[in-house]
Amino acid sequence: MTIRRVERIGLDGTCISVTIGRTTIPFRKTSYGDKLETDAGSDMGSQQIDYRTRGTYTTDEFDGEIEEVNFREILQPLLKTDGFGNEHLPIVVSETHPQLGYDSDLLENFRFGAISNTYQNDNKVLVRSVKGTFDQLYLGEDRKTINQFDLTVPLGAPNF
Amino acid sequence: MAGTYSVPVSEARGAVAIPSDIDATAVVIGYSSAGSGLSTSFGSGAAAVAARGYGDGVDCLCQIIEQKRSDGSSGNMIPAAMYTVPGSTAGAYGTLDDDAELGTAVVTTDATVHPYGTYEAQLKFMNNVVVGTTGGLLQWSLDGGRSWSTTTGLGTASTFTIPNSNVKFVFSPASADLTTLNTLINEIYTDLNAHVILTTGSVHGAADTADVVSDAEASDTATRIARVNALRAAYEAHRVKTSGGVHGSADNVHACTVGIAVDDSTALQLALELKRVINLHIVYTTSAVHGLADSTNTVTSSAPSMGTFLTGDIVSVPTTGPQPSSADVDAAFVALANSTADFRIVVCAFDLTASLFSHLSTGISALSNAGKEVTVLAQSRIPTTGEDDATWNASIAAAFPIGSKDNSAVILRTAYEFVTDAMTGRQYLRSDLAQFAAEVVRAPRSVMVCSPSDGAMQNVTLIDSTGATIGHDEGPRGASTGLSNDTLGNRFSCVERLASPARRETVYCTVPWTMYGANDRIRNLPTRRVCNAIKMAAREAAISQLGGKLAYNKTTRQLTRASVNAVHAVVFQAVSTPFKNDIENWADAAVDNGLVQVDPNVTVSGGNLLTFGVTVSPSMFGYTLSIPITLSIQQ
Repeated sequence: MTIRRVERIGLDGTCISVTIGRTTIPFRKTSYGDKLETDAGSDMGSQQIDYRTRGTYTTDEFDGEIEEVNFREILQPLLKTDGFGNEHLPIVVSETHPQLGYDSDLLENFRFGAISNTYQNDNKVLVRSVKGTFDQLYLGEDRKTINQFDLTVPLGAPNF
Repeated sequence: MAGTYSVPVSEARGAVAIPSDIDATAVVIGYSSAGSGLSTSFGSGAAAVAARGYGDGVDCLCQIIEQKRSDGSSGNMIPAAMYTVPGSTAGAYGTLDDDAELGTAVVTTDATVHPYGTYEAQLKFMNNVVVGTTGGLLQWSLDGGRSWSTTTGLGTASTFTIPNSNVKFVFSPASADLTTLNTLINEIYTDLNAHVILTTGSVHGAADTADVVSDAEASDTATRIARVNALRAAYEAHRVKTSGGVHGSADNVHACTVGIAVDDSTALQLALELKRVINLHIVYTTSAVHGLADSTNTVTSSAPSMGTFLTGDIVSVPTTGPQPSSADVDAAFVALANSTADFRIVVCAFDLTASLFSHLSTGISALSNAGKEVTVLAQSRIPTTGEDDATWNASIAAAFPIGSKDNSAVILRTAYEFVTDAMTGRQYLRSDLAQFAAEVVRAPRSVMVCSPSDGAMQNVTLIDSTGATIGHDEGPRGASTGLSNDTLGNRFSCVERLASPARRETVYCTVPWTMYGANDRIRNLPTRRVCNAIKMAAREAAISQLGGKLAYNKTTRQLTRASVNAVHAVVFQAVSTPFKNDIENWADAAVDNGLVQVDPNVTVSGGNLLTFGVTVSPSMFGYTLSIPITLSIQQ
């Protein structure tokens, strides 16, 4: 991690950039995440959780919003003519601040899943919704993962 | 055009040959009797033979394609291509062995007809044969008698060329008969020359001086052939000559019925025929051919006998195939680099000498510059006739020492044994490079080929039918060992038999070392193959960066973090999951010290050319390797 607290400065959306492959895409907002879905159980006569499974790994849908002109001018020309939803791409979400430092997350094997928009007659900025799936989330420059790749290896002593 | 619709159907030999990935694509560089340059990929051995003919190179190509197994079945066939090099050093014959021949014929080989490959050629006579007389039967073998052809007739020929091999035997009369033949030919010379100018007693109306022969006395094969052919020409011209009144009429009865001589046997046949017809012609007075019979110039020398073979006679000769020159090897690699073909394995089906080694290195560099990262499989020579295993062992080790013959992209096969040919079933005593190449193409890239876990080497054996060891064995039963012992500086790929009752004669490969140098970390075949694949994948991913805008700090000359991460992400995705089964740190996505590391330092040269490095550090077999890639991007 290379983000350091300096003089009570915080990060905001002006510090974020999203890169798909080698191209920085000016999203208005993005959301992504992953989780380990576990199952828990209790034996009869117990009011506790007696056991919990290790869980399976899933990723949340990548959900982004991009202004329409940016979509037409920057993102759309980069899409393949035929089958851009089948292309595997990496996404890097970077946080950069001149005083605070930098860090980034990696979304591996992103695929476009849905591109949608809604038109109506008002004064709102026209935006395009871009959603997709990805296979693995790596947190931070150390690329940490919530899931374990080699389940035969013990985790070791906690850092906390 | 008939204008009708049809769907032609033909039966293909074996399964459709489709490679699963580029890692299994091979090109053989070697000699073939047909074709030149780079071929297309062949999907069957039959197609390869039809296009490229015969020779060690074609045999190797077919072994790779056909994927035959020891039990005779076939695995999935794998296409491969060939680059034919000229045989700048022609195929040659070894010492002919006629100890098992009891007949009188003297057997030699034709030095002007060069063998296509490495054979142990043999002829076996199935009945008593008189050379030049019909009825002779023989069988032939190219693998030392371990397999024989069907019986074939010799006819009246005095030579025999084993089909599809260019191995030619010549049958000559016995030495004593050659001496007798010299006497006969030289007497014919004297008598014919005297006859053609004889006018005494009106034998001829005029002397035929034009048909007097003048050449060297018959004393060896060359002079025998030359003189008897000259005598034939002179006699044929003389007997019909009526101009100037030489003859009263042409002698059309006593024509020579034997053609020109090409070797000692046919010279003998011709001499006997000339003796016959000349003796009939010189006394022929019918139709006033001659005014008087010439009873002076009768040929009287005794007739030599043609050579003979007895039933069961065997003659043998080892051969070596054509070898390319260094210029041939250079040209092959340049052509492969410039071609549109893509491949990962180059098989050099010729004997690699110490002097040729550097040309492999040059060729590998040329291919790398063209974006073709290859593993080269090469073979050493096998022992010469009479050379024992220990002597050969020492010679090979001395020819390729570590420190001067280093290249971690080269696997040098120093193994010789019986190899069952995929197309013919013959058991050749050769380097087993052809079968080793077939195994490498078959095996996944991260597998130790023909280790006990992968399985025994197919189609090879180290023993003959009596159980005697006939090849080089690095195992406990080998006559000499150490070629696979890298602590001795020997980094050769060999075979061994294990000390296991359940697999007594099963042949496995030793660790497939590369010809690594002291500082090389890529020390074995799977590491080399995986690293080549990683380089290709990383290069392909990194190429997508070329021409793109990169942000860098002009003061610190470093890429911005966003640019570093973008490059890292693209390359990491290309080399992580696809190599999940090959490397141990495939999931290490840390930007600064993981599988892929981007050096943020940028070198800017004239014209705003940005250069920076990306290092891929795969971990294999416990060793962490380093594969550097340099990106130069014009901004």
